[in-house]
Amino acid sequence: MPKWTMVIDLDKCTGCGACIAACKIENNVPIVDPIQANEGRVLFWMDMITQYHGDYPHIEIDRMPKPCFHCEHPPCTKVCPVRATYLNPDGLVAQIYHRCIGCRYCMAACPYTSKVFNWYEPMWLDGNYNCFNPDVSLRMVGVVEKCSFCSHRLLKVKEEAVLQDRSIMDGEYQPACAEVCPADAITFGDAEDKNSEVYKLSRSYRASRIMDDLGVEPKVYYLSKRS
Amino acid sequence: MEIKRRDFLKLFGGISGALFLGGCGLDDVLEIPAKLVNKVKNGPRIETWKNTICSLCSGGCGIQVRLIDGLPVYIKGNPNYPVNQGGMCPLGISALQVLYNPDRLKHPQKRIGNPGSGKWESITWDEALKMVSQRMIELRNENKAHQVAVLGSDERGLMKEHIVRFLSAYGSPNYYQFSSLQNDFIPYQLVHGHSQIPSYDFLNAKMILSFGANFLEDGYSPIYYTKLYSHHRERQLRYIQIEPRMSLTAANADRWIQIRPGTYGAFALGLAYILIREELYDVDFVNKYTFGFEDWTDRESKKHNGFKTIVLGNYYPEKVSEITGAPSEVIIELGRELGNTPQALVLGGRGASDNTNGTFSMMAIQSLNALLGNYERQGGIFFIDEPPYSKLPPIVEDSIAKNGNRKELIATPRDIAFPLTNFSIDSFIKNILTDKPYPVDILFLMKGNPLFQSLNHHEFVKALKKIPFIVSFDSFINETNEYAHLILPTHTFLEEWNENSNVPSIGFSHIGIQQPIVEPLFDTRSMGDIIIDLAKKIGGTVAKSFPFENYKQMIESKFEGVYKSGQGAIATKGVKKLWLEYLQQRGWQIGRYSSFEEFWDQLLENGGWWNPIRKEKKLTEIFKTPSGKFEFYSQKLKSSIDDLVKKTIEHDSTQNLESVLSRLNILARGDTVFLPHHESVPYEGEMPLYFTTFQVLTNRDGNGANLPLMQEMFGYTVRYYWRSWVEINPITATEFGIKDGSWVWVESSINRIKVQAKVIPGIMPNVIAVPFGLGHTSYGRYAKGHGVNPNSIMRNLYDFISGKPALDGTKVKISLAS
Repeated sequence: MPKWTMVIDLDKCTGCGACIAACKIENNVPIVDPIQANEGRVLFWMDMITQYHGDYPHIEIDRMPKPCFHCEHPPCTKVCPVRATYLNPDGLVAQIYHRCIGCRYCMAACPYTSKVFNWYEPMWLDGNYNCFNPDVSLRMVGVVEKCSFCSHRLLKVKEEAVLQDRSIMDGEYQPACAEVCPADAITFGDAEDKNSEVYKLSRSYRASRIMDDLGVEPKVYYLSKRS
Repeated sequence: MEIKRRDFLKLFGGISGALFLGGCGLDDVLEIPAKLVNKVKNGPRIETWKNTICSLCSGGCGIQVRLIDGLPVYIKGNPNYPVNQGGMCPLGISALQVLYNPDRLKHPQKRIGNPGSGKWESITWDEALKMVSQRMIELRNENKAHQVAVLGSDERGLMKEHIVRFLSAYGSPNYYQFSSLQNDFIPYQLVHGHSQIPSYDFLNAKMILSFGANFLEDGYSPIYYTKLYSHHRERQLRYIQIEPRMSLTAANADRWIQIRPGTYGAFALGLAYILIREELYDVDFVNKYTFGFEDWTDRESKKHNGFKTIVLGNYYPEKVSEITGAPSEVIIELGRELGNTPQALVLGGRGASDNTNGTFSMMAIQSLNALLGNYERQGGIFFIDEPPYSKLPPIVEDSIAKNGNRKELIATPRDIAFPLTNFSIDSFIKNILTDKPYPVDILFLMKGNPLFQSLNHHEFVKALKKIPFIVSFDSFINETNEYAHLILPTHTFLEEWNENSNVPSIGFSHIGIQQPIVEPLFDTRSMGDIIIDLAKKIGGTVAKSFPFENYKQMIESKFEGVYKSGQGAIATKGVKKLWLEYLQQRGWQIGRYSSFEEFWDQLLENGGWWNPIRKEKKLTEIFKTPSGKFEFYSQKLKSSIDDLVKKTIEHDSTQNLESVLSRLNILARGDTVFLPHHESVPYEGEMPLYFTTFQVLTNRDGNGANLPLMQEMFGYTVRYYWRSWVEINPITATEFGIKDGSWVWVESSINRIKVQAKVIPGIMPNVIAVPFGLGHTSYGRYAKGHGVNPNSIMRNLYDFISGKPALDGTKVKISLAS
C-alpha cells in the first residue's frame, strides 16, 4: 500500500509562490472577491506562511509552503457529521463536495488550518470564459475544500500502471506544486518504497513534521537545517 | 458564430461532469470561434501537450501547454528546456488568463472619443491597415519618413531586428525601447567597451555578493536563477545580499546587509578599499588587464590619479559607514571575506542601477570583479556567443530611406544631459513637446505600457496628445494605449510565432521557439505579420526588403544557419550531464538531422535549441575599450563628456567642462568623474524617509495586473490581496505612530498616495517601500482601480549618465490617514 508523502525542502524553497499559482489553476480553485479576500476568505489550497524572527539588523525569514498534511489519523474526518471528508483507500484525505453541509467542523478540527470554505459563489474570469481542468470538479458555495495532493492525477497514473501491468514508478505521480517548483524544493512520492527519493529525504537528519506531538501522523515533511 | 451561455454550459458540462454555474452575468452572449465550440462539443477529450516559450517577462522559460481537444487548460515548465528546466513562476503559470482574458481586444479599434473615455469603434483589418499605410505613404512622399517613431518595450532578437529592418527600409532611425531593462548596458559598456550583459558562473562560485540585484524576483530571468540558486546550500556557496529592503532574494540569502538607497557605489568602493589596502586583490590581473588602477601619465605628460589613489584617499571604512549606514566593522569583515574567498562573484542589479548615480555605482560594483580578477575563469564572469543564425537578405534602401536614416535621432537629449545615450524617456518627451529636431507624425507603440512605468505622467500625456497619429500593437487597452488613435490587436504569445534567443545574463547561448498552441481565438494578428503586411502595402523598396510571406518564414530562414552550423543541440531529454561530457570530449557537433525539415520538426516538438559549449576567449579579446583592457578610468566616458563640452561651447562660448558637469549634476571633479565613485543623490532635505519600490514575481513591471489570479496573489507574502501596501520598519512605525494595517498617506513633494501599512522588520529604519505594478487607471476590469502606482509620487529624476529613470531618488513623509 503506497504511502503518498510530500517532502518540502525549506533550504531550497525561495518562497516564489509558483506552487500556489499552479495549484489554483490545476484544481479550478476560484478567485475570491478583493474585499472578501482581504477579510481572510481567500482560497488557497497551497498557502505560504511567512514568519520573521531575530532582531534588526539580524533578521531571518521563514517561508513555508503549506498544503493539506493528509494525516494518517486525520482529526477532520472524525468530526464530519455527514462523512463528506474521509480517508480514502489511497491514504489521502478526500472531500465529497455534494455531501458537505458546510458546518465547518472539519475546519475547526484541523490543527494545520489547511481547509478553506467557499463563502460566496465562486468567481471566475468574467463571461465564464474559462477553460477548466476537466479532471477536477468545480465546487459550489457553502462547501469546504482543500488540497487533494492532486488525487485526480493519481487516478490517471494508476489506470496507466494497471493497463501496463506494472506498479507506479517513483516520480510518475506528481502534484502540480511539485511539478512546477522552480527550486526543486518539493519532492513527492511513496514513502513505503525504499528506492524512492521521498523515502530517503523523509529519513534525513533535516526532516521534521509540524506539530508531530499531536499524533495525527501528517504526511508532509519539512527539511531544514535551521530548526 | 454566437451561442447562448446556456448552450455553452451544456457543452462544457459534457466534458467536465460536475460543472458548477458561475455567478455573474447569466445572459451573456459569448463570442467563441465556431471551431472551438465544435471541438468542445464533440471532443473525445484527448489530451495533448505542446511546447512553446513564455513571453510574459524577459525570462524566456520553456513551457508545456496541456490541451484537451485542442483547448489549453494548464501550463507547466518544459523540463528539457535548459533555461528553466521545468520550473515556472506564478506569472507564467497563469498565462492562460491572458489568453482567455475578457478584456482582450477582438478587432482593430479606432478611437472615437477623447483619450480615456473608452469610446472605441471596431473596424476591419483592411480599413485599419489602409489607414496606417496611407499615412505612411504620404509621409514618405513628402520626404518625412524620419518623422515616424517606434516606442517598443522589451523586444529582443529577431523581433527587434524585424522592427529595425522595417524602419530602415522605410527611412526612419527612430526606434526606441522603454522597459525596466532599458539602458542597462551603459555601465558595462564603459568598463568592458561593449554592451553585452555579462553572464555569471553561479555553479562554480564560492561566494556571491549581490548589490541590489533581486535576481529571484525581477532580474532578467528569475526562474533560471532560482534553479541555480536553490542548490546553493548543497554546494557550500555563500550568498550575501546588500540592499535596504529584504527582497525575496535577501530573504533567501545567508546574510542580508542593509545600506541606504543610492549608496551602493560607496559601499562597493569601501570594499575595494579593504581589498587594496590589505592586498587581497588579484595583482596579476589588475596589472595586465586593467587600465587606470595606478596613477598614470597621458600622452601630453599630464598626470592622472588612478583608481587606487582615489579609493585609498576617499573610501575608508568610517566614511563609507557614514554614507551607507552600514557599520564599519561590517565593511571591513565583508571586504576581507571577499578577498579571501577564491571565486567570489560580485553582481549589481536594479537597486544599484536605478538611481541618479546608477552608472557610477554599477561601475564601482564591476570594478570589484576586476580587482578579484573574475573575468573568464571558473566561478567568474564570461560572455556568451551569439547563436549561429543565418543573416537575412540585405535591406533595400531607396533615396528617401537613405535620407531619412541619416537624420538626427529624435530622442537624443537636446540640452546638456545623459552624455552616453541616444534615448531617455525624459528627452523623448521633451523633444516631442518642443518639436525638436522635428515633429513626430506617427508613433508606433509595441506592446509596452510606458506611460504607466514612467515618472512624469503629466508631460508624457501632453506629448502623447500632441502626436497626430498613434498606432498601438497590443492585446489590451492600457494607460498608454488610451491615447492611441488606432489599436491593432495582436495575438497573445500562445497564438503566435516568435523566437526567444539569448536572454541576457544566462550562461549559454540558446534559442527558444515560440509557436502557436491554439488557433487565434479572435480576429487578431501576429505583430511580425502585421509589420510585413504594412511593408507590402507601402510597396516599393520597403516591400522589397521583406521577401517573406510571413514572420514564420523569417524565423525559419534564420534557423537555417543554426542547422547548417551543426553547433549545439535541440533541447531534448537526452541532454543531461553525462551526455554533455561525452560531447565535450568529442567536440560539440551533432549533425543528426538528415534535412532542415527534420531539424525544424524536432525543434518544434522539443521547444528549443541550446549550445552549452563556449569558445574559450582570451582576456585580451573580451575587453573592447580604447585601451583593450578593463577600464577603471573610462576613456569612453571621458570622450563623450569632452564631446558634449565641445558641442556646448559651439552654442555658447561661456560654457566649459565645469559648467557642463554641474549641468549634468555631477559633483565630482577632476579624474574622479571618469572613475567609479560615489555621487550623492540630490534628495530633498526636509523629507525624513527614503522611498523605494520593488517588483514582485506575480506582477513584474505592471503587466500581470490584468490577471485575476496574479492580483489575488499580489501580496501573498504579507497577506494583502489585490492591493498595495507600504513596508515600514517597527522603529520607524513607532516614531510616526503607525500600526500594522493602518491606512497612511505617503507624501512626496510631487503627490501623495494612500496605502495600508505593513510593519515588518524586513526593511531598514527610515526607508519605506511600496510594490510597483498596481494602481492602473485602465488595462481592463481586473487591473483598474486596485492599489496605487508608486511612480506617481516620484520626482522626475534620471541617471545623470544613462538617462534611466531614478526610481529610488525620492524622499517622502508619512502620516496616518484618518
